[in-house]
Parts: sequence; C-alpha cells; structure tokens
Amino acid sequence: MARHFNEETTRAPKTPRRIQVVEDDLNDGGYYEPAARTEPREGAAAPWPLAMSFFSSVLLMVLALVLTVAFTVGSGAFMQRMEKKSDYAEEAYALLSINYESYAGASGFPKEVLLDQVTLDAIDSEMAESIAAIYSGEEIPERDVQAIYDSFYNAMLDYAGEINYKVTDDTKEAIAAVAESCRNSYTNFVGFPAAKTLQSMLDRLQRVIWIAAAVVAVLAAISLFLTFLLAGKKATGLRFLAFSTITSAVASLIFAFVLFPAFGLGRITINPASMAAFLQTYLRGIFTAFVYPAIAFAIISAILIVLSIVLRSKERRGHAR
Amino acid sequence: MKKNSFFRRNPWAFVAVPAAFALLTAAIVAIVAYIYLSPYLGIIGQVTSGSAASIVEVSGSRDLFSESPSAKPTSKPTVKPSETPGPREEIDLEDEAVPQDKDKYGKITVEGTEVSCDLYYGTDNSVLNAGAGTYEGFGAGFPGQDCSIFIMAHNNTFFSDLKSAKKGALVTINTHYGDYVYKVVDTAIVENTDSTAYDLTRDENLILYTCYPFDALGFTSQRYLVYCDFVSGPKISGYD
Repeated sequence: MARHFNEETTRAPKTPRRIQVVEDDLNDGGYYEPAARTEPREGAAAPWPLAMSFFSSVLLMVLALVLTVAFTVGSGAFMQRMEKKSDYAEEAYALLSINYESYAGASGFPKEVLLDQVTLDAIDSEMAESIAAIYSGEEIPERDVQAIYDSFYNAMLDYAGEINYKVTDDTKEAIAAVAESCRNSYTNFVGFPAAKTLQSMLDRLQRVIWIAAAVVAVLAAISLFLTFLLAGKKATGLRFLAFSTITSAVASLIFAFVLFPAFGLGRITINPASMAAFLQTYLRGIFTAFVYPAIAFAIISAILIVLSIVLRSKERRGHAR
Repeated sequence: MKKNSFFRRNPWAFVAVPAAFALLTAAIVAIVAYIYLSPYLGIIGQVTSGSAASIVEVSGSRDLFSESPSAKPTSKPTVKPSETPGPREEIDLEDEAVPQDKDKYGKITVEGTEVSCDLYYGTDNSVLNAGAGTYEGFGAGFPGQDCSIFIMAHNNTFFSDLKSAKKGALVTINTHYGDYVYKVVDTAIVENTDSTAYDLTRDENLILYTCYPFDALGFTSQRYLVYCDFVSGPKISGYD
C-alpha cells in the first residue's frame, strides 16, 4: 500500500485520491480506487446463491438417480449378478423339491425319480438365457414344456419297469397325472414372469436413459456455474457448491440405506417365493448402488471445502497486504 | 456487522445447509410420491406385508407341541382315555395357542397299525412331507372344536399302514392343549370327488383320509377313509 501511494505521488494526480467506504455485503470497509486492483464484489444476497445451491443439489441428485438406474436396471450384467446373489435357482429347486417329494409320497415313487429330472444348473441356465434375451432384445427362449413332461413321464415308466410293476392303461393315466403336476410345478416356480413385457419396457428405458443423463448433466453444470457466479467470491462460490454436493451425498446415502427398509421392500410376499427372493435382492442391489454416487459426492465435497478454505485464507492474506 | 456470514463463513453451515436442503427435498418428494402413489398404496401394502421370503421345510410354521406336557413321554395325558364318554371338560385356548396354517400342534397314533406321526394344521405339500395334515376348510376343524376333523397323509409315507386300522381300534391325538381319543367305526373306499362320503354337520368326529390303492403307482382317483367317533377329550370353549 505504501508503494502504491508512492507511485501515485510521482504522477500529477488527475483526480484527488479518494478513500471511499464501499457498502457491500461484507462491509469490509475496503477502499475503492478506480485504477487500483479492486476486490471482487461479494456477490448476490445469500438467498440467491442459496436457492441456486438447492436447485443444483436437486439436479445432482436427479443425475445420480438417472445414472444409477442406467447402471442397474439398464444393465443385464447387473440383473444376472443379482439373480445369482439371490440364490434364485436354489430357492426354486427347494420349492420344486417340496412339491416333488409330496407327489412322490402320493404316487408310490421314490422322490429321487422325480427330483433327478431337475437340476440347479438347468434352472440357472434357463434364467441366464431369459435375462440375456430380455436385455439384448432377442426373442425370449420358449420353454419346451412337452420335453419337461416327457422327462418325468419316461422316468416314472422306467422305474415301474425296474420294479416289475404291471403297467396297465390305468397306470399310465395315473403316471401321466403325476407328470403333468411335475411339469406345472416347474413352469410355476422356474422362469421369468412377464419377460416380454419387461423386455419392451427395458428397450424404451435404454433408449432414453443416456439422453436423459446427458440433459440432466448439462442442466446441473449450468446450475452449478450459476451458483458459483452468484456467490461472488471464488471461496464463497466453492462453499455454495459444496452445500449442493454434500446434500447430494446425504440424499444418496438415504437412498442407499433408508428407503429400502422404509418401504418394506425386505418383506415382499409374492409367489413363488423364489421370485420374491430374487426381486428383493434385485431391489436391494439397486438401492445399495446409490453408495457410489454418495462416495463420489463426498469426495467432491471434501475437495470443494478444502479449496474454499485455501482460497479464503489467500483472500485474507491479500486483504492484509 | 457482516451480513449472511453464517452461510459464507461459518463451518457449521456445511452441516446445517445440506441438512435443510435434504429435509426440504425429502418433503417435496414425499408429497409428490403420495399424490401419485396413493391409489396403489393398498397393493404395495399387500405385497410388502409378509415376512422375508425364505424356504424352510415347513415354512412359517410354529411348533406348538414339542414343548407341551403332552409331548413328554413320561407325562400323563390331560384327559385319561376312556371308552365311556362323560361330561366333557371345557378349556380355554388363547389366541396364540390356536393352531395356524403349518403349525405342528400334535401327534397321531392308530392302535394296531404303524401309523404314528406328527400332526400339523393345514394340508399343503410341505406339511404332508413332514407328517399328517389337518384339513382347514369350511365346516372342518381341529380336535376340541366339536366338529368334523379331517386328517390326511400320503398313502406311501405316514399313512402307508392305515389299511391295517380295524373297527374298534383307538386313535389317539395328543395336542399341546389336550389329549383326544376316537374309535374306528368304519372304513370306506370312495372316489376323490365324492362329497357324500362325509358329513360336515356332525358333532365332533374324526375322518382319516389317504389315497388308494396303497401300492398303486401314480395319482389315483380313489381315497381310503377311516371313520372314527369321538371318545374323550376336552372341548374348547366358544365352539358349539
């Protein structure tokens, strides 16, 4: 400041030096000199950057929502992982085992004769093919129900032959009734319900989700820029941006850990129980995936807070000089 | 005095402002969600009302019997089996002790046969894999309710020796709330669609039910019924 004064006195002053108290938000009591380096304005009144900060947090949350949906619901690999994690095949096999054991008890066959016609691998592979077809848009593989019926029927006839049971027409009719029940149990407990409907919904989703993500990202970027601009000082601007990202981090954590139990999604009771288990695991996976945006927002928030503190201390040192 | 210095300078703003934003967003989302989802709340409630999905041997069942006095081999039955029907003792059964679907509530044995198995309420496949099931349809009930009692099991498992039940044999049902005795009075082979084979308007009586023939392969259309009259056991209050 002393140097600056000396520079002024070496020239013929064109206008008298003035010390003017500038009324501003900070009311720092700074002084104004047209030719001098000036402090930037403090910014708009707090409600405006605060409102923009809130709006930015909403847009960031929507962006997190869209991206999470894109990487979960929009991803066949995610559904395959959740299907494996839910032990869908094991649950379906357990349901089938209960039924087949009862049918065996009612029909005179050892339960192994019926249970051996179904394997965990077959159930797994059928689900994997269905999920792959749903997401690829290909035709959903049709189950060969006749082949399922035939495998049970023939296995029972073979057993009757092994024990030298006299097979009459009445016996064949009785065995056919068992085979039909076994086939019906299989079709009820194994498979993806409404696969075609889901396929068309996912097709529409996959077409719009990335466009929506891009649009929301642009809007969020504009909103964040305006927030920064309205705040005035860079340090203050970073602070208001941090408010947005912290809010989004908190909201993401709420999505991840609170909403699933709050909506009672851990108590889904649809039939069959194997599909209920799969649906529960799938929905839990979607909600838990919000941990990733929460972590990203938390890291960004930390960086913004640190930068804000660093910039503010630099500004203060600049004031002091 | 510095204006708005809380938002611009106070470190607690990093907590208070996001908390306020989050609450405001949650309130807006809750209101919007309620407006759009309120027509579906009933369906959502039904779908999310049950216990967590899991498969157990007899899923969702309670074992009411194993810890009861009647289950202990050395314990004396609550009512001494007698062929001479006397005035029936009345007992109260608390709500939580009333057998529900898939509950194990007793044991059934048939004199002169190898029939001796756990008794469950309900007749779905998981129950019939574990023992005998009690039909829970209209007009039928469990022992003590002063109505017809249908107990069924598979002819190749727990009721495989039901064919050996003779007239006059005693059927004992030990439950967690009392012991009951019935006497075999008749047997019959009927078609599975024959609704005239049993009378649901009678006072307490027992019908044991399984598939027939006993050594047939496949699902047959015939059923083997063992009709039993009530001999002794407490009546549950409130059922007339």
